[in-house]
Amino acid sequence: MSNDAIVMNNISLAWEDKVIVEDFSCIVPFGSKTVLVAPSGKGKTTLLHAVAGFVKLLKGEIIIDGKKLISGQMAKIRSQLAYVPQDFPFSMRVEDFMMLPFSFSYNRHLKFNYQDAIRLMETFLLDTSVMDKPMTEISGGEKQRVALVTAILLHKKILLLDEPVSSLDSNSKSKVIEYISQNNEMTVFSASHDPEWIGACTQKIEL
Amino acid sequence: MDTQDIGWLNLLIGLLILIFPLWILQKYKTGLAKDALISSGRMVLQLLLVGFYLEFLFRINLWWANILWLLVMIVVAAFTMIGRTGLKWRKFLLPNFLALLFTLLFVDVFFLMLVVQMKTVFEARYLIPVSGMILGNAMQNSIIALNDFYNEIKTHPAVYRFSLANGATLRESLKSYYKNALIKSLNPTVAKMAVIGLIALPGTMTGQIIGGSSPVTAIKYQIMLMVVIFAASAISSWLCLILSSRYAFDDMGNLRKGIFYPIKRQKKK
Repeated sequence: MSNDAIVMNNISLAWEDKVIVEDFSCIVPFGSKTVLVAPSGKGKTTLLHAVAGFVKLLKGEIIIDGKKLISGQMAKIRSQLAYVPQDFPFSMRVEDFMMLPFSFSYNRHLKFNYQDAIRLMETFLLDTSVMDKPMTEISGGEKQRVALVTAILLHKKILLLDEPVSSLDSNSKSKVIEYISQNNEMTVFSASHDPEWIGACTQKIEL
Repeated sequence: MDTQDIGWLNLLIGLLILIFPLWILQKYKTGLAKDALISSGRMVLQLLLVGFYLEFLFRINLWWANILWLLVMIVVAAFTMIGRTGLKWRKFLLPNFLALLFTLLFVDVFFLMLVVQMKTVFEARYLIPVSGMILGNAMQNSIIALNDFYNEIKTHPAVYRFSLANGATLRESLKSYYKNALIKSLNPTVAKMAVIGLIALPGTMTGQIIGGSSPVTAIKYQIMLMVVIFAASAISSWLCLILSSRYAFDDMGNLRKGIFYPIKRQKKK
């Protein structure tokens, strides 16, 4: 097994026919907490999308856990990721949302542990009564923490986090940052504007 | 009991009633009057042609002529679906054609052989009109399903991306889009079934009663037609979604670029 979770070699990416990332290279070691830093529109989210296989590379290559990101490897690669996007247009109940990824084919071997979920929600100062509410009726900060809890519970090798603390108040933000940065096993590849998140990351990559 | 025929002159007089809707549409400058006039003209012309053609088909009643006519109907329906969804025909004509073909074969055989107990499914007087009704409805419902599905995928990709990046297969990540498209497509038919006979007397039944059938025979046909139309709409919407999405996504699960004609080519619903 390689020691690098993600390797990007001279990649160029376009979003909606406009090249926004050119000749970009980086290495994300396992266990690192990496953050992409750049003004809006400079391609942070596009780079996260590229790792998840949502954006075609114009040139270069991406290697994830030793596997080159090509269509034949996509299922294997995606099965090692957990992804927290910026928005969650889901209307189901919070508990159903949390259990959803556990019903997916590549996660069938995993079991949703309710107790772990409750424990983690409490750690993130998230009122456990939200479990019964529809996703549409909870606040942005609550949604973000629900999604983070879900991603962490999947115990994947790599967490892709897009602006993971942007809607959190300072108390819950500190708790989330503390939990993630103390977890040495966890590999995080994130995009953020948040100084506190950026400060806590072990590797900062400016675009 | 024979139907009272409508004289050609009387038919022309009958068309004069169009003056009222056209006047209303024109008065409020809806821009729809011209379209309405053209559509009415097309409708009259198409039906006249079909009427004469069907009379010819019924007279010769050859199985291959019937099949040929059905295939023409399916191809026209598949092209209409392509036109109304903005999908490119090179990639999507085949899946839509197959979806309609399978639906029609299945439902026709089921209805004509099993229910009506025809000796052959190729009896033109039954096969052609029944297929026409099934196809027309299946096509409309499938257009709604396809439009909803692709619009949602294009405008709200977040749900399926979330699923894909968290361990779902493409089919799993599209499930909620399939679900919503099927709801949109079939809801009107479900609602229509609930009120039929109370609020509206359906065309088939009215036609059959005027044509001399007893009301009880007419409602039997009506019941069966409602059911097979509903079944055909569901089967064809589902098949169109499943089959077309095989062509619409690349092997990384992303919606292919260039599968739609530019927006201006998409016609109004």
